[in-house]
Amino acid sequence: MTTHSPWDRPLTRRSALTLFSAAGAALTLSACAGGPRSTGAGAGPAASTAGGGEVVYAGYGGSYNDAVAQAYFEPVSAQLGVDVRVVDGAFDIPRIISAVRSGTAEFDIVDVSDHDYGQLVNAGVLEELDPGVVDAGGIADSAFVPRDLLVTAHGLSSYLFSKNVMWNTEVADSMNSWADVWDVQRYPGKRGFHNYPQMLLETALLADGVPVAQIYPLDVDRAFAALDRIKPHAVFLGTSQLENLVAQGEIVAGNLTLGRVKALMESGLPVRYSWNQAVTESNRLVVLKGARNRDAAMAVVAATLQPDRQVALTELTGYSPTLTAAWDQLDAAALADLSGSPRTAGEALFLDYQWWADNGEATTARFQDWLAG
Amino acid sequence: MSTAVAAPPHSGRAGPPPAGRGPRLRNRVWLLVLPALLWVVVLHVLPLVTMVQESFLDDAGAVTLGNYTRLFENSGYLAVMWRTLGYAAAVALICAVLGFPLAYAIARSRPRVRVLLTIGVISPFVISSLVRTFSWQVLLARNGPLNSLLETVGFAPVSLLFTPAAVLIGLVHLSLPLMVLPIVNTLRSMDWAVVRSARSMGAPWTTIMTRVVVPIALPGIEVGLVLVFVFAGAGFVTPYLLGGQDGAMLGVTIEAAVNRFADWGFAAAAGVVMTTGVVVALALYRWLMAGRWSGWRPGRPWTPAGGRGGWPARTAPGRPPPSVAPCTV
Repeated sequence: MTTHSPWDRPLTRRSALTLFSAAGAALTLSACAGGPRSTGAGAGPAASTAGGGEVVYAGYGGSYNDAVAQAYFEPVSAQLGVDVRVVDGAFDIPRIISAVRSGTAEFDIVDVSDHDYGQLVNAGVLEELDPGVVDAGGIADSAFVPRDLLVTAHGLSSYLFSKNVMWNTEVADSMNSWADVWDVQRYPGKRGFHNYPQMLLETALLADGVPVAQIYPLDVDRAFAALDRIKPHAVFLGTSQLENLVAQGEIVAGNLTLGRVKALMESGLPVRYSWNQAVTESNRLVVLKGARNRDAAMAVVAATLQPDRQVALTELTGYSPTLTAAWDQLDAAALADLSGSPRTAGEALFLDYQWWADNGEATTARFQDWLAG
Repeated sequence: MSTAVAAPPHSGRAGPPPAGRGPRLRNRVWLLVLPALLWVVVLHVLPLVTMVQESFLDDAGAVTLGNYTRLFENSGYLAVMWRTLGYAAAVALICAVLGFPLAYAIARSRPRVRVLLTIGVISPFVISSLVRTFSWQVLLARNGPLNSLLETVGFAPVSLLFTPAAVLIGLVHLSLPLMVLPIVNTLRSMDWAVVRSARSMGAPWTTIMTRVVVPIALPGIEVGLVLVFVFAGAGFVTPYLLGGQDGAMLGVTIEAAVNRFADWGFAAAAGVVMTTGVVVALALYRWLMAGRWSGWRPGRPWTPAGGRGGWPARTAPGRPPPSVAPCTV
């Protein structure tokens, strides 16, 4: 069980502290001690192709990094004889882009969510995965996600997760759609949403009655019109902030990441979530252009795509696997409460990173202006 | 932001040059300034120049005014900019009203008590501003202690968080030491015989305060006002955590532009505008206030010294020139 989800957005306590102490370099300078370090013993046959050495991995920080280190990199290091160093803390997309462009990238592998993936693809900072090394064969169409969205040139989905309709049971017995979240007359109280446009515009369109199948291409004007209606009743913040405010009862409905909602429920808080209209995305391990250890990085990415390792991560984090063989290992009870499983897919939406890669820049600027207005 | 505080008016008077040292040495005195000059140029001037440069560039590196037109054509950004200056001014005034009595108490108390009070004022600085702002979030929350207090007394809970009031409370809490300490300095260095003589002449304490103590403390109050104005105007954590949509300040916009939207030209333009806004506001303050304090008596309207505003008319007889801190933002 995790309390820190991987998609903690850049504006976190860490970046705030960084800003205040002007210690901008702290992130990249702080070498992590927690990463699994293989001794090289027991290296399998793949070791020779990987060539050994060290691969630097950056994730979304917190206990998520620990989970990934345990589920993926301990067995992968042992198999390949490659050290995988997990960088402390979370990465910033803007910093990664500028670092790759100036040839000073500190990381080889970045664990990126689809809502950021489009931006990285668009910026041209990712290596294409070598199909000879990274085998996508185990990934099939999921319950509602076409394989094309999971298997892409620069990254393969390693797990799925979602932002579900979430509410405080003190204001509503049940909310079943984003339209309910938008209905401030019926369910009064502060709304909380994340502070980036990806997934939020989709959410607004769902609230406005657009059927899931017709969400893409996004009707941006209509989405902003719907957002205008909720804006006076809402705050737009980073994930940790949203979690705090939901815990305090200040925010009574919104789109907190499901992992956080479950953590709050486990600590006894009166929050619930619905699977209807769950806005789903995936995370991918991508290799940065100019990675110092490109070949080893590819081998590591390939080695993470194994059913046992995906299931181990699911058990640690509550996020869904993408390999068909991994799905097959999960029992019915687990399937009933995992994003993207046939049991929960219902009217769920999957983020189209390609739309955001093509239209992200203009839409993000518009969102930025909208947020200030 | 770094801020150089001018020495209190009575300290640091240079004596005559020591006898027996020739003009040769005096000509090289500028060498002593060199380290400080380097520091300022490398750490302040160069980044500022870079920021100004960056603000005129678009993503591709071409020269553009687009960052500025975007800032000034969007009513949202305009509102945020005015709000930022307005909050900064309001926080400075509130801090002056709250801080003066506190500073007076500190300055007048016995040494041991004074040390304790001073520690009390400074100690919040030991805790990060982030933690203190988080605490306000908990205190002001809908289910927080303040609202439960209201409820037990019989009132309905009110929305305290994500209001302008929440931002002002948070900023005042963070900025108060910047107001108190300069005032304590001026009050400690003043000649309290003038208070005794005022009392011996039968002046009631209100008169002593308004006509003797406050005018003498004005240089300290002005330093405090400037420090708090600059500090609060640059606030980012407080409006982000307490302000929501209605209390957003420019710092939040800039942080989002840098960390979330990778929009560095825009962030630089907003930074340039904010710096300019603060400098203009301070200049305006000096121009408007020039000489007015010195001629002020309760019940009488302010009159500009010599009948006009302006820079030079600041010194009044009997009072040393007030020291307003020069600020590098």
